[in-house]
Amino acid sequence: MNLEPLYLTFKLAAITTFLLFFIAMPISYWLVQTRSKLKPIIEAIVSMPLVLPPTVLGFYFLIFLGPNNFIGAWLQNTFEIQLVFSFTGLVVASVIYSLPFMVHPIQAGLSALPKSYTETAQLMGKSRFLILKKVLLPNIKPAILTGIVLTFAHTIGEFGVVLMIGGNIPQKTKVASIAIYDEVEALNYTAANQYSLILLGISFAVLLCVYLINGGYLKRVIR
Amino acid sequence: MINCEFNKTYITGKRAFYLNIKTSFKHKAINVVFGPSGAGKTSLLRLISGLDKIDEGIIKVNHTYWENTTKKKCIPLAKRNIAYVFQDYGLFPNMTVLNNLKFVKKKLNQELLNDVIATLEIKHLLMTKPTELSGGQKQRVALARALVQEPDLLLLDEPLTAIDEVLRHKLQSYLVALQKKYEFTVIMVTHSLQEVLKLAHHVCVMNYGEVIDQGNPSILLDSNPNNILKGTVLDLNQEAVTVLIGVQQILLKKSQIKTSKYTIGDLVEISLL
Repeated sequence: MNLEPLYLTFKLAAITTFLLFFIAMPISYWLVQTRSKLKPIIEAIVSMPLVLPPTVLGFYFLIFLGPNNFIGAWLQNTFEIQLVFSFTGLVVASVIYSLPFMVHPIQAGLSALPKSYTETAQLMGKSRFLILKKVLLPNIKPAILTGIVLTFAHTIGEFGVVLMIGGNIPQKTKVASIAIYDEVEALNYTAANQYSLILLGISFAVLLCVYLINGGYLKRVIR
Repeated sequence: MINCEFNKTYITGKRAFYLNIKTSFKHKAINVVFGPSGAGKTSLLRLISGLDKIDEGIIKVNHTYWENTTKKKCIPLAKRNIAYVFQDYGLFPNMTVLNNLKFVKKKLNQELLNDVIATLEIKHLLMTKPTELSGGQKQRVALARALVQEPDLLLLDEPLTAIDEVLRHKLQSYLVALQKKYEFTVIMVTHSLQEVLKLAHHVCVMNYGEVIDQGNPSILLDSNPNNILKGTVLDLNQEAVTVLIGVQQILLKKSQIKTSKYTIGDLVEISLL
């Protein structure tokens, strides 16, 4: 079994999760704090990947970020960044596609906190950044953990977007989910099963960890 | 002196609540906002603090406009130097009591910190997290955190409601002692007449979003049937008795004293009828 697709999959999931943690934080905070009329529009945009077929997202990526489009051409000529059929492109697409999986848990966690935490700190003259860092985030650890794990697990399972934007380039964009598809196409069920079992086991282990930690089972066992 | 003359409409769902305020609060004194539930007491505190914005009018503190809608002036709430003790205390659960206190300022007044810790008897709680505290302990810690901020204005939203009577009396005494010592201005919300009479230098009576009366706490004595208070006899003559209730000296008719025999220095029960 070639381990390269598995390596690429976990590399993609780790980078996406890391980037999304920092991207989702201000978005979630803004969604909780704001009284702007734009809030429902932003919420709808953030949640779109939940209902949109991955192929649709992948298709528009292909159109807008391809070298024949203004944006794609500009990125290529100015920064020498090629997003289509590259690992960088996969990361960008994954970040957008997994956005709601990080934003929603953090938003729910922040919404559940009493307003008095923020208001007390505001009256003390603390900055928004400090309030978020020192008061709010430490009190929503279970929500953050849920967001991280869901994003990681969701990125591992991506197929449609990855196929559309990344193609199937070995050692570059061929992640595990695509490798499984390839092996099935080639009637190599043994290899497909090996990849599948590894993804199945890791997904289960990761989700089990979340439920054990958030449910407080681990603390009780340690005591 | 804090002058408030403003309007505010709160809309929740299909209901609107109108607040029409015209009142003033005494500087370096304990001001109590008194009234039934739903009178608009908490909203008044939130508007003074700047957490909610007034629709129209002014909030003026010692010749400085905190808010003036005509001049479109609004001092940011962080610059008002207000400490606010919320009904749920707002203690940060991720920090110990000591860290809750340290979070207030980079450089705490160490003398004040030690004094507050000693007066409010929270030394043994410093390394504890708020989730492990009882209601009364949380209130003491919340009050301590507010005081170490060295605020110009301390806002207290029914801070003594959820605790037993013994502890309440103790905390009331702490508050009076600390206010006297550090001379900050307090605006405290309550619906307890006993609290008004024990603590207030100035009372502001609210109902239906308006201030309906204000002045010396004795103004309340005429309008609260079925209430019995306790006080200490300071002086008496053939017709009247001077009684100390809380920090207030109030002249009462002898018929208002329920206790049958008493002399100067005795604790007596007073009927407000």
